[in-house]
Amino acid sequence: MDNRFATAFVIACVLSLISTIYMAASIGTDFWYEYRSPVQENSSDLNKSIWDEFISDEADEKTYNDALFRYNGTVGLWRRCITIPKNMHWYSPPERTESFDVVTKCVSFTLTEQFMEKFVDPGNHNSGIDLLRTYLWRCQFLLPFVSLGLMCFGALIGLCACICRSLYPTIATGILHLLAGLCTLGSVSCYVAGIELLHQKLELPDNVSGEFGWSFCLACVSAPLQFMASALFIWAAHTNRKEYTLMKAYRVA
Amino acid sequence: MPAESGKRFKPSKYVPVSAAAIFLVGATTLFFAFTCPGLSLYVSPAVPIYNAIMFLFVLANFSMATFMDPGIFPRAEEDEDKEDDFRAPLYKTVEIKGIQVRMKWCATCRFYRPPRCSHCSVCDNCVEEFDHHCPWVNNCIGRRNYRYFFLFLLSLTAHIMGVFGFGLLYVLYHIEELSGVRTAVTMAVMCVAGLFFIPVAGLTGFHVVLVARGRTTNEQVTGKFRGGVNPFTNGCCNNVSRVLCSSPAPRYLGRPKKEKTIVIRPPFLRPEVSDGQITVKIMDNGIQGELRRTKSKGSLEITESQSADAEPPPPPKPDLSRYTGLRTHLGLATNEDSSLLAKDSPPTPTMYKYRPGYSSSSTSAAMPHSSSAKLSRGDSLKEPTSIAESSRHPSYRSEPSLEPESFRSPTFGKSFHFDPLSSGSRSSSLKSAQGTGFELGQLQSIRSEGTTSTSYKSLANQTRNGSLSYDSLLTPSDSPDFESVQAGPEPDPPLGYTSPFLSARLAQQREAERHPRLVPTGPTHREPSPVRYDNLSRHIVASLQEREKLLRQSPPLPGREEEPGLGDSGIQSTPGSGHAPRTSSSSDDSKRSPLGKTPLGRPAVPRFGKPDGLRGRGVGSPEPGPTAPYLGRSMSYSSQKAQPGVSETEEVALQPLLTPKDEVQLKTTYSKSNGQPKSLGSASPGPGQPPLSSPTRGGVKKVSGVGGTTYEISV
Repeated sequence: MDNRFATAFVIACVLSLISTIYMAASIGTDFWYEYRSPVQENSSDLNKSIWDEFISDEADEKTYNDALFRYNGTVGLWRRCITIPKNMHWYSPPERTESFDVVTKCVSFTLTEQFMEKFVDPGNHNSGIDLLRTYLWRCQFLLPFVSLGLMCFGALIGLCACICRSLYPTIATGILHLLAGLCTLGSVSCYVAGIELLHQKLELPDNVSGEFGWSFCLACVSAPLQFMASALFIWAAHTNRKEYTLMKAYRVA
Repeated sequence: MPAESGKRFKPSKYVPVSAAAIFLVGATTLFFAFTCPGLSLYVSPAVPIYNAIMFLFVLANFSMATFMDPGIFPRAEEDEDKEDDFRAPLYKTVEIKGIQVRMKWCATCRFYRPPRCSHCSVCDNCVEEFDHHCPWVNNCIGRRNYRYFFLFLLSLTAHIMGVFGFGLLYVLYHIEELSGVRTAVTMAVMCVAGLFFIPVAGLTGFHVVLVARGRTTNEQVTGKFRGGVNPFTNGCCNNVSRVLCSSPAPRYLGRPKKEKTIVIRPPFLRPEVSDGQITVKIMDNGIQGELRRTKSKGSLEITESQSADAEPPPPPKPDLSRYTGLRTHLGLATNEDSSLLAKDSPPTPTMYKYRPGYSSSSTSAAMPHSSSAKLSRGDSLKEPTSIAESSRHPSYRSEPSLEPESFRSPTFGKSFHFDPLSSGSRSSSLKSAQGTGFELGQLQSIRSEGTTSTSYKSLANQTRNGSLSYDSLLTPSDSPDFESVQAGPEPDPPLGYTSPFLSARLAQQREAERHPRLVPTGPTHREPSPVRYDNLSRHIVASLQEREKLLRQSPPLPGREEEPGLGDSGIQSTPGSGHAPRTSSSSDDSKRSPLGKTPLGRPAVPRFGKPDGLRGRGVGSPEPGPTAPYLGRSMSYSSQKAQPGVSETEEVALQPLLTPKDEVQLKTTYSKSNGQPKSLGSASPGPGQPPLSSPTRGGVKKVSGVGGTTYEISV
């Protein structure tokens, strides 16, 4: 009996640890969505102007999305990246040998941009505010952090339980992991919805294709791990408490 | 408390299970995150679905193997098994399918471990069908969870092969992008899968063999049932189906606790629970085996009791045999009784003979005097009779050397009769005394048996009415009467010659007696008639008539004798066609033997009886012959008795002297006549008669001529 409960506790901890690692990795990386576009040639002037606009803080949603579409852009939760040729000399055309060297330029979203309202027509300030896209954008950014926080808090409670030499508090840990799993699933679903709506507004060019990245997959995988850890924590705590109560009663009798 | 114990073992005990979980879950999730999206585009969307299902199956079996009760036996409570703990021997043997399996006493759990049960030191419990303690699962593998462990191994092997294969496929598609993140992660997952495949596949193969053989890892490692036959195997197919398809084994741990919870509320229910536990412990401790042994002993006692019941039957069998022996004795007794009856019959003819004496007044007056004198004489003469017998014995010894014919029995008889005559007057006087003694004995018997005579008469009448044989016997007596009439004139002259002298009278009487002997019936009839008519008065004639009536009654007496004789022969001899002649011969013998016995003493009787019996048995043809001599005897007795009535007292004294001599002579003549026809048994009765008459007549003639010289000539 004790061996089984201890084993369940250990396995639950392992699963929780794995899911935490995966969640942290997905938040920290920029490969939630990837765009693939062909190589641009004989457009040094256009490249320069686009890059300048991409870097500037005043760029609107339409401006930086156009840049992402044309230059193999990848989008994360909190920053965007584009890949452009290395030589940007305006006075001479790029040679073929030098054209293969690429450079990745990343720009983080400012907090104002994360919480700025989205317009019905990207780029047109007068078209009105799109509340759905606005809240989806905000949730996809916040929920992963909430999930990670809940798991860390659960781990803290588990540590306290070990210090107190009792498995009963681990039932709280289980509940927290359950909530974390739900947040992770919510985050993933919000991100998918947001991307779909964006592409409806700004249609992709013919030569450009987009797909979800491995960061997004890690987030998807960590959700069931959190659910499994939750189940094991709750079972171990509940059953152990029940039998503990029986044993106590027996001794009293 | 339990948490504390768990934490204490945490550092070393839970490392393998955590490592297993990390590699299993981590590798699989990385495979799903980095490799499956690409494969779903290039190969088919079914790839992630297949891998997902396989992974779920692996997880399910892993969980069951880890968290399921392997089949732990609950420990016995200390209070109840203290005595057993001290008394219990270390091992107890149990027979399974004819094979001795050893059960060991577990000191920790306090019971004898059932077969295939072993104590796990890591879990500190006795597990049913203990296979091994698996550190990767951190649990014992026993009867209840062996199935899930086996399926876990099989599914894990398949899963590893799938992950490795699909990973290799993905890498081949992206050879140009080896530096990419996806490709790198996929290659790392392949390395982990490859490293774990070899040991996992080996372990799976090992367990497949064990399942097929019906063995456990514990038995394989410890070498149990290696040399002999495994009693727990049921064939390959049955073993596999038992592992995979049988219903789950019962769980032993939960029951006592549930019972305890019930007991806690009402305290008085504890005894029931304890009874249940006692029964369980009895089964575990093997006490039931002892009970069965006691039952078997009881059955042995029953068999012993049955054998005891069987013992009485033999005793009655010998008892029955004893009873049969008694029955045989009873049968012998009946034979003796029949022989006694035969003995009783002889005195009856003598009774009839002496009755006419009582009828006459004169004879009755004379008899008491003569009887008293005879009694005194008999007493004094008893000793000399024994002397005479002793003298006869040496004569037997001497004669065989003299005469060749002496070997035959009739010759022995003849010699006996002639010896006393040759001895002289003394011998004759002794003989007369003997005769008187016999007569006295007969008279006494008649007086005592007066009442019985009536019963004899009634029996005689019955025999006359019932049997035809008597009628046939009477007819031959009639025919000799005619012959006697024809031969009437011949005996008259000898009577006339002897009349002048007393001695001459005696000689005449003897001659008269001899003549009727030679001619069986004729002379006897004629002689008494003229004597009676001339000498006797009317009263005497009346007495004679009565005597004749008695003579007529006398023939049925032998009939009485025949009846017991027939019974004896039937009992003694076996049934067959020979019954009739044998019975007839036996009846003749019985008739002769009593008649012969009466005149002589008791010791002489058996001698004559034996040869007569032998003769009768040997020859059947002389049957008509012996009947005539019987009739002759009766006639002679009547004639003798008639004379003393007429004569005076002196004559009366002489008559008893004469009668024994006549009797002796009669016996001798009878033996001769009997002997001769028997020797000529092969001849017919017709030619037999003339040779009988011729030699006897020659002897008689010589005697009549010269008394002493005639005896010498015959010798």
